[in-house]
Amino acid sequence: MHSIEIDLVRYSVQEIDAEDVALGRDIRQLLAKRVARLQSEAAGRHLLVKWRVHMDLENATVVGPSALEDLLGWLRREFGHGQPSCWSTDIEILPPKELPAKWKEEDTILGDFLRTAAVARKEHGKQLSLKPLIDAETPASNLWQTALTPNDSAGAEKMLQRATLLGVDLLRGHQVELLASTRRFGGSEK
Amino acid sequence: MKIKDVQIDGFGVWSGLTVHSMPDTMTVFYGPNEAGKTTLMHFLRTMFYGFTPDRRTRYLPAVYGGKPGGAIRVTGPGGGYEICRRAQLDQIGSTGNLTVTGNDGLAQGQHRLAMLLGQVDESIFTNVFAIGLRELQELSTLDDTAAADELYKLSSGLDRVSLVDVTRQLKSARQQIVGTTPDNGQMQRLMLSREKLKDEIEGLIGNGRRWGELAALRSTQNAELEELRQRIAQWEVEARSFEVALQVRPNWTKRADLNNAMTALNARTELPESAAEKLAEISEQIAERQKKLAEVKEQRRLLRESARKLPLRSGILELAAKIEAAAEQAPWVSSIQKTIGRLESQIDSTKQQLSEDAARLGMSDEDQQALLDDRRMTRMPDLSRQAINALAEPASEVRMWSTRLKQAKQQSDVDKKEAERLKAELTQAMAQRGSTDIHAAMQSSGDTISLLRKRVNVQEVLDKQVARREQLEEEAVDLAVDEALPVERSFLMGILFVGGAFLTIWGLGKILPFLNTDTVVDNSQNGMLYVLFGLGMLFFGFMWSTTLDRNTVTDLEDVEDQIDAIRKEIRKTEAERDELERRLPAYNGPIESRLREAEAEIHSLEELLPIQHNLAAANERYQAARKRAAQAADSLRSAKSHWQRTLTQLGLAETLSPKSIRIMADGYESLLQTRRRLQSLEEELETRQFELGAITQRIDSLSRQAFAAKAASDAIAGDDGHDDFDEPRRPHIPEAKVEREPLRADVKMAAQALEQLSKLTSLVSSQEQYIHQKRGMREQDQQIAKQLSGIQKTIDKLERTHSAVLAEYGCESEEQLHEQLEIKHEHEKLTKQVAEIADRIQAIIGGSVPYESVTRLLDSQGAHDLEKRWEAIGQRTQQAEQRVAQLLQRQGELAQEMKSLAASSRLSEAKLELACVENQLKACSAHWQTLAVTTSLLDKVCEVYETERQPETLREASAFLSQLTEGKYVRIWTPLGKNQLRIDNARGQALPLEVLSRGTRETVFIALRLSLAAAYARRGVTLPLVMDDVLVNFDAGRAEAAAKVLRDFASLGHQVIMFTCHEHIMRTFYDIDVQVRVLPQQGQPGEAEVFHPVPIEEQQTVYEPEPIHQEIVDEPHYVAPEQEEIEEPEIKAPVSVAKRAEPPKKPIQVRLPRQRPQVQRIVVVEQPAEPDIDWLWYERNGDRFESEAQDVVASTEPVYTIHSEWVEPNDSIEPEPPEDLWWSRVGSRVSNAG
Repeated sequence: MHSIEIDLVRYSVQEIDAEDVALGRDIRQLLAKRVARLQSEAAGRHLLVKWRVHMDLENATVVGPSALEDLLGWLRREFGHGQPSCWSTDIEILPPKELPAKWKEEDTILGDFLRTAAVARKEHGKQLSLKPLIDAETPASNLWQTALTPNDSAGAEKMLQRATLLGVDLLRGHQVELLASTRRFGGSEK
Repeated sequence: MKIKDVQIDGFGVWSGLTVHSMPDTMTVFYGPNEAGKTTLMHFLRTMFYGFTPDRRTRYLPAVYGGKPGGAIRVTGPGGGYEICRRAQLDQIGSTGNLTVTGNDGLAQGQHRLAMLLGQVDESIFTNVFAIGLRELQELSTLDDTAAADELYKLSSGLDRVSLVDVTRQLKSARQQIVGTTPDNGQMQRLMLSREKLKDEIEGLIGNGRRWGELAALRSTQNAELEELRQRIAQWEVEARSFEVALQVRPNWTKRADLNNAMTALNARTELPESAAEKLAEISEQIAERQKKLAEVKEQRRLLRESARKLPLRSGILELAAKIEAAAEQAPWVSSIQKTIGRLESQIDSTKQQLSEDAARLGMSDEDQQALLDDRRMTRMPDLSRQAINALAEPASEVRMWSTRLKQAKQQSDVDKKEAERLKAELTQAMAQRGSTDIHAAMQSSGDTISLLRKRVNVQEVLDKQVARREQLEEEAVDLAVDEALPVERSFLMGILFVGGAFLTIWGLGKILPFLNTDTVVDNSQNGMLYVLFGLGMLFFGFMWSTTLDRNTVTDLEDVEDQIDAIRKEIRKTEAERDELERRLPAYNGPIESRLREAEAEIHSLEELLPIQHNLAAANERYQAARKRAAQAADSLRSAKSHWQRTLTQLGLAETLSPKSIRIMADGYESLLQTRRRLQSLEEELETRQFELGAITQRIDSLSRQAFAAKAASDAIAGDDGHDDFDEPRRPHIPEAKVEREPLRADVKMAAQALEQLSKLTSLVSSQEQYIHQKRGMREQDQQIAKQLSGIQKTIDKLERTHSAVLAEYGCESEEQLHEQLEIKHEHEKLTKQVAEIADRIQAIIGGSVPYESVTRLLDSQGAHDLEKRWEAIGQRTQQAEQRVAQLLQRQGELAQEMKSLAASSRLSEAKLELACVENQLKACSAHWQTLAVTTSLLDKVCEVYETERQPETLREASAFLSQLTEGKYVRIWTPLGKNQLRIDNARGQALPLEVLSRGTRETVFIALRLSLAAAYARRGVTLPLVMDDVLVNFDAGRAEAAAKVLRDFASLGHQVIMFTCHEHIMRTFYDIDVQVRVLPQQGQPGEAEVFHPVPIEEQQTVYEPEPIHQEIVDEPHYVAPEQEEIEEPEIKAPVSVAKRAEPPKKPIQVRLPRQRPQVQRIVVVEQPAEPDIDWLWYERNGDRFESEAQDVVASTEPVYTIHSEWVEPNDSIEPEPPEDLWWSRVGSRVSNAG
């Protein structure tokens, strides 16, 4: 007869409120406070947390996928190795429903881009076709077609949102990492 | 937005640099290398966009000190603004404290600056409005294709970043994700990894199946091994049985023989060995019981004799119940005895207290004895409650009036002291004011105040009257002037009279014939009209003048009358004022201060009024208290007479006071109470004594009866001896008293009664003890009788047992029983031998084999061939053991193989890795899709740009290019659908960018930047275009053309600021009327002055070479300037080395060599700065730099004076001066005039 300890790990999905972020509070401070609260509630158990974060586009330096990787890396570095630890499994950046009007009204390339993206979002990305790019940049095989084609319309809309944020980063002149980061799934940084 | 003025307080190498009144068009800043041009450019960026960390690191703190930051003045929508930004060195992350101040002086913030910048952020400003030498140098280092790409970027979207760059970055990233080779394809690498992992997992799953087969084989072998082991064990047992049977076979035969002999004896083995002993023991017990029976009979006889001798008295036993009842009264007797003692002591103390109370009341010894003897107190005064109540009312009246009299006296004393204190205070205050009556003083002060106020009013009226008089006198003067010389009116009158006279004369001329003979008839009518009109005008003029003169006279008279009246009033008022002055006490100060003092005086007197009122109230209270005291004294006297009368009526002395009466009344009550208490104690003592007497009588009677009964019993028993229970000595109680009346017993009698009671109790106790002893003896006798009966029964039982034992063994006598026992002993001997043999057999067999198997082998038919069967079993066992060894070896091999298979956790690891790779592939796919969608969106943006904006940009850039190249290249365009630029030359040939020269490519670069700036200007964003030496690679002609293009571009409303370190470029701009500013020396406060050349003739006449410089001129090559000129700190802080009597206003002069220089001299001239009359925001106390040029150069060299700050201090000691400063354009001459 042997005993097995139970209730050692808690799972949680945490959402960082858009209002807090919009108030200009530092997103990392908000995350740190939330982690402290979760650890207090879990009373010494390890935590597995998935984050859903609303970004404050106007004040954040980087808002696109690179922001996600930066935040995730920071969270794991800061809180993922303690005793008890709080391991962040993933971060989902929740884009706002409307982009900042000031940006959209700019008479710049960024403004043109955001207006184009807004039109594409209204059309649910129907006018955007990735097939020419897939044909041009990959071997013509079903494997690549299947792998690189969005599965459904919801996925396509999410992809469009991510693309909009990435475009904002690029056109605002921010230095962002454009390679796919696979660290979340055990890959290396590059 | 246009920059007007710049003030750098501290930034990089600049401290106190000012640039005043920059034009709205174009300004060229000229300075040598490291003069601080780039620093100035970054200062402008800092003013617009703040202190970034990079700029903080590079430019702060300022090299030559100064407060970090500065200010610029700009003009923009809504007027002029001052943008001031200061930095704190310890605020690392701050962009500096920004203030934007408008013309109206209102401070505004970042929003105003953002408005002025047209919401253009620093990235756009850097990319579009800043054309730097750095970009040109980078463009020069690129190959043709890269340079063409760079230029195409400018035409295809550029603000913060280049659209082409972003698209290329995205494409590159996508290719790195989906590249077809593992080296450059992230997904390809992952797919390969995934395939490898799948293969590995397949292989690992095959290992799992092998493990299962091995496990089944091992299970089968285990079963076979188990069976073989069981068989070997069984065979080994059988072989051991055969071996043991062979060993025990001789003993086995001998034991069989002994068993046969025992059967032949036929012994009675059931007879016990103890049968004979048992019979002897029974006979011995019978003899012992008979002896004990005789001893018990003798013991019973002695016990009966003792019981008969015990002294028992039946008469005493009959009285036992009464004696016990009397004994129960003993505690009560003791209690009564103690109560009597306590009462007697209390009676004694009460009698003593009664005697003391009587003595205190003054009673005689006889009365005291009578009181103790309970006789009435006839001779005591009547101090009963009724008498006391009759005295209470007079006594209370006396007390009440005494209290009131005392209170009235105390109140009168307090009021008297208060009145005296207030009177002293008031007297002191009034003595200070020199008065005795406060009301009179207040009346006096009030009169003074009213006089002063009246005096003030009179003075005001007087002032008004004087003013009015002066006004009237001025009016009178004016009217007199009007009357004497009315200029305007005279002029008007003159016009009227002259006009009237002229018309009259003219009319007469028309009418009279001698004046005009030709047109008499025609002109007579007109002449009449003229005459009439002229006469009318004369009349109107005369009447108007007369009326006005009359009005003026009337007004003058009225004014003079008013002046007379006001003078009378003034005299009257002055008389009134003098009267008031006379009535007022003498005082030197102004009236206002007198009034204030008088008001303060009356205010202080008003403060004394409450004291006056309190004094009056205290006096009244004092009088009332005295009156109440007199009334209380009268009432007290009447109350005392009432008291004396009442005492007389009660028979008491009149001199007794209420207090002595109260003391006497209290003693009377106490005496009565003590007497009543004594009586009650005596009554209780008597009661207790009677109770005790009754009890002692009953005890005595009982004692008599008991001892009479004892004497009777002793007589019957014949015992005349005395013992402890003889009759005691009884108390002396008279017989008659005992029988007739109750007896009062005292404490002593109670003690005797208790002693009798104790003896009676002891007598009864001894009789009860004898009875108890007799009962114990009777019980012993009965037990001895039972013991005798039991011994007799035991003897009978033993005799019956002896007979029964013989019958049980079947013997008639004890001898027969002994013979049977001898046969049994022989049988037991044989049995022992058989047992010994069996033990030996058992020892041989031991526990190795079962006894039954040996018995079966020896008792069976085949006992003779045991040896053969034993050998066959050994052979079978050996074969089975060999098979077991083989199986065990195989099992080890299987276990090792299974362990190696089971120990590998690679399968789960590989599955985990495969899941990770799958997720990584999904992430890559999603990221690629994101990049692709971004690219698609950017492609749409690019389409919009190429169709809507690029044509306009290229058209405008073409125009700039044509002007810049003087018509050699006329058009920039892009082929449809291709990311390329084409340049058309004047002959219509379309050339790709790659074939153009470096200078032409830079020309295209500048043209595209100008068109971008123009495009922003059309969008409403007009910012200064800052260019850093962009014409450095142009030849003279193209540089001149470019300068003209930039000048024209600036004249269209774009402010252009250009920095150059090349003199020929500077002079090119100067020649086409572009303002050139010369940057001062670093580290010194100064102004970037406007460049003006100095006429050569003037230089030659003004600056004569001096001998000290002649030596230098003669030197054949460059010689460093003299030590005293170079090493002196004046290089940084210029010092005038020569002063002119009348220094001309030519601040900066430079002498450049006509030929290749052999001698260079820097003439350092200090001139006070111009007063900052147009720079209102800064408070700068700089001295005026006057143009006191001091020439210390060789006489043969052309002399140029420059500001000392043109050259770095270290430049003066370098082997060679900057080329572009010293020998460009040999022989030319530039001079600056302030």
